[in-house]
Amino acid sequence: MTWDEVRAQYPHRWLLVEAVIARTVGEDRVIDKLIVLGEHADSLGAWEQYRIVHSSSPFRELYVLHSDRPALDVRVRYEPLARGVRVRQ
Amino acid sequence: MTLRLEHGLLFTTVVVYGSNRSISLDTVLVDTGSCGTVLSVERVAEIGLREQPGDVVLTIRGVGGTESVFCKTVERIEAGDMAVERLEIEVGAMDYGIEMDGILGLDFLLAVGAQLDLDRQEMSARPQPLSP
Repeated sequence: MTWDEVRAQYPHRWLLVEAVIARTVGEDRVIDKLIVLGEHADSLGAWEQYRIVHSSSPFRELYVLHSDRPALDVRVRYEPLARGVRVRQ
Repeated sequence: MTLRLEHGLLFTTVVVYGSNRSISLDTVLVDTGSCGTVLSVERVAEIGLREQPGDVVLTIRGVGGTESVFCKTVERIEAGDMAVERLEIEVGAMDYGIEMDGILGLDFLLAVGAQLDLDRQEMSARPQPLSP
């Protein structure tokens, strides 16, 4: 789905979405297609689902977004370790 | 201030001030390898900092995976006697394999001129006098 299609289908909701077709242009992440993984009444519920999905699949491109957001403007930053915190157990 | 060594990493306590409330976060990783300061979405919600529909959303990508966060400006953030006013922080799920309340990143550490004394496991903003 495009962001406009998501907004029409899930109005005024917090959503956990996954970018399935996306590209980086400069410092912007351009998301062409996404799927909705869950809808929630509040943002914390969506973040809870984010954590569950992310913990098993850390490379999936997930976002918690509200469908009132007019444009899907996402910035991108590269960090060498990207919070891949290395822990001595 | 004293740093705590846990899981082989350095942790400290940070106090974050929202519009009217503050919260003390006891498990915050001191990390010169993180550009930004990141705080737990659940913990900052306790002082009313929640994602809003128009917040800036950022994706951070690297060898550890992909993570998304939203940005908030906190009134003040302090660690011991070091403090920064109106710092833009990132807020996210903090899914790093160990429980933590946040990451004190290089943005804060540079702003206060933090000096890390790894021998004593202390952090301060002022130069330490050299031993004779």
